[in-house]
Amino acid sequence: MSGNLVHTIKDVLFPDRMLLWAIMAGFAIRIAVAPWTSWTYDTYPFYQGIVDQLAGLGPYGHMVYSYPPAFNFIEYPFSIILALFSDPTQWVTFVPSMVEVGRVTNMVVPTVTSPGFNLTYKLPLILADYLCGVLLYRFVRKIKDEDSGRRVFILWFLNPFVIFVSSIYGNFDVLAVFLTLLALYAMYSRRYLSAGLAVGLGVSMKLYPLYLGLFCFAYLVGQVIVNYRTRDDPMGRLKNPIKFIAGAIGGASSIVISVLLNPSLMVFINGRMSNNDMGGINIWGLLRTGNVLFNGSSALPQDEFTLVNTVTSYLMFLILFLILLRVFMMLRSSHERHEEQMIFGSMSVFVVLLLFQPVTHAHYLLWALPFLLLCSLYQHRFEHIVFALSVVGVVFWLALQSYMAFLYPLSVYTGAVPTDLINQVVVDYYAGSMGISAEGARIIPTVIGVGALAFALLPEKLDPAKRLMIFLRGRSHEE
Amino acid sequence: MRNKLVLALTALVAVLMVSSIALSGGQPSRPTLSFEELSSGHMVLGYRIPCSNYDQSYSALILGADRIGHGDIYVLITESLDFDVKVSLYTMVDHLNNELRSFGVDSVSSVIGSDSLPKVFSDPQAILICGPSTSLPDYFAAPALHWVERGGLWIGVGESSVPFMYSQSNESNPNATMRLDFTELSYNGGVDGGPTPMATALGFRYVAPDNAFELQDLEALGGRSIGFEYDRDGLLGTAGVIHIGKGSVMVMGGDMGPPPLSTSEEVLAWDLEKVLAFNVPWWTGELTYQIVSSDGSAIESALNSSFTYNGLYASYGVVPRNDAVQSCAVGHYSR
Repeated sequence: MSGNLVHTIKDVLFPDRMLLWAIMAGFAIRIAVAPWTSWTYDTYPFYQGIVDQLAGLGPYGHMVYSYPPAFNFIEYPFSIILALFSDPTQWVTFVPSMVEVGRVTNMVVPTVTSPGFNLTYKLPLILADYLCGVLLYRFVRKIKDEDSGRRVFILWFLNPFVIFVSSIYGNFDVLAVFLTLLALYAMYSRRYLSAGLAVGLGVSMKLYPLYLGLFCFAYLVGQVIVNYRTRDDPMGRLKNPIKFIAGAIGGASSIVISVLLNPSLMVFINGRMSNNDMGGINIWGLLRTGNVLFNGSSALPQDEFTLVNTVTSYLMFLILFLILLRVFMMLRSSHERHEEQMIFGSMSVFVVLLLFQPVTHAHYLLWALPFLLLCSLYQHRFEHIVFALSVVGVVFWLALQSYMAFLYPLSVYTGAVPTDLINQVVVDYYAGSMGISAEGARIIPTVIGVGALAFALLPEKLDPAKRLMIFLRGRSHEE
Repeated sequence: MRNKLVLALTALVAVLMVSSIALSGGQPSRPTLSFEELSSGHMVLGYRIPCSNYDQSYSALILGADRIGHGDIYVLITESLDFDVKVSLYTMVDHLNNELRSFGVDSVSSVIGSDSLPKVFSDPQAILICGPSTSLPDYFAAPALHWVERGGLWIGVGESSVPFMYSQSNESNPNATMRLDFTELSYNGGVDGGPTPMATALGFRYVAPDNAFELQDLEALGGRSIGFEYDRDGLLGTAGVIHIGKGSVMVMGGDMGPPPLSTSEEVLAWDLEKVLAFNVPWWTGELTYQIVSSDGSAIESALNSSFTYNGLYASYGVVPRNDAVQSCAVGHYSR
């Protein structure tokens, strides 16, 4: 019995011996960089949430951790283990010399977490990177063949952008990405309860999987309506959306319980719903870029709180409308291509969200990456889009304050790089005294990123990049 | 496989549900305090801090005050404020409402506009917090000062946050009668600076506001410095208290800007919570404190103080100095 269980686990987690080298290389790179790198601005909230948890206050004890609680709960056992070897008082160091840098860039917190803490809190993210890769492999093997599965696994697990987000920058988007991918896998396999559970669990990590949930639910309800006259079991037809919604509610139950026990979470949810900023790699970032180029100002034309709130509210309606439009198109199309439509539909949900939501930080591009990889099985051009977005994601982050801003843990805890040197480089880079300003360095990745996302939404025959390639090939043949 | 996926996901849901019940937080067990005045001015604070899984560091302190307790907290947000300051003030209200309870303070914080100021001025127990560059019209100066004299507590963060005070860059208000100049603070890694005894005792973290007030102006107004002090071609202070009539004005440097954890609203709120819990705005006597630590074992000790000033009250307690232990206790003694 236990032998069977071990065999099953091995089969699920390590499905292909030929991937061993890629797995070992992927883990080795991640474990090597994770302890010595961090983005201080976003790491400190994780630290505070974890130590508040250890202190018995819950994740929101000091209201610094501002995400749904599930990530904190997942981190808890890891932090307990770390605390056996290193007291929490040693997990963070206040570095006075970083205060001035923080004043200049507004993206440095003068509190640097230790290598042990960095590695510990990134471990679940590294594991989720791997689980995503394995799921992609199994998914692709199911759709196509093992060779394609291996290719997609490598494109994911050894992708510098994926490594960067989880192991260097250190944000936990990949946990939600894994659950949304699992939801699609379950939808594809017509396991609607599992799909709902995965979406609900995804929402308990980050709020954005809610959009995939709306898409799936709309699709299932749409199927009930479309098939109303063709089947003779009306109650049976309702089962699928009911299963899905029951799973989603169950999956998100940890949020409900947390809110009931600690209403502080609502402060953050309300805060995120009334976002006051717009930009990043989306159409608003493109507007901002246009303003930089033509008016020399990075501010959006409208920055008043109420106006931005209104615009944001309408944007949400626009996003929902586009999602429903996509569902409508799917339901109108051939039923024989249900699975393919589901994959393309999910991809377009995330791409629409990334393009139109108020803020699209570069690491959010990870949300769409596995879905774009799946689409590449049907249209090779999506591999180019994945390539472009991966480069854009890394370059955009590095362009914010230069790559040196990620090396503070290495500097503070080993002295390998003097902290004053990092401070100087970051300030000089940010101020533009090294020839190119931080604002200027983000223009090209923003334009390429938005372009790549927009191309992903176009039908293959209208994709200008593809038409250009065909044109160029034709020219070279003529010559 | 179908069942295995549902089972695996259900197991994860169950783990998160149990975690959200078990780990959503509450109030850690509090230290126990005993307080006694053995003879006039000679007071003893006995305390026992429960054991912890982690290293512990605590401050135990006693301070003399002329008044204890206060009413609700109002945070003024006006149209003239920068958008970022408005957001910071809203966030500060959330911090105060969430965290003050852990100090045993039951005041409620809320945001108000300037049209609600008459209501605040009718309550001499109330606390009003104003952000940097609030720049209330001059006609508020006299009623504001009158309210403070009757017992109100005005907490002004940064320049132009107290209507009856002026500075070199803001001298035009005829009803502003108290001068307090602010100067840009070059933090410079904290060189030539340090905490006052009060900042050390309470473990203040609002360490590097981007501007600070001239300490000589504070002293000229009869105030006491309670935050950090820096020597930058003259002494600058980050926080101070000035008693006016039955009330008090607490002035703080800064514009609530970046970076977090040294100048912005969360550390400002954390420091204010301790200030309010220990009645620092009414601090008129002396301060005695000690810092104790352990490897996680329980701490049982006593703090002796010999106050020469016969204040009306003593506030005492223990507060944590590191993040992973958070139990604290505060008490007050009427002499």
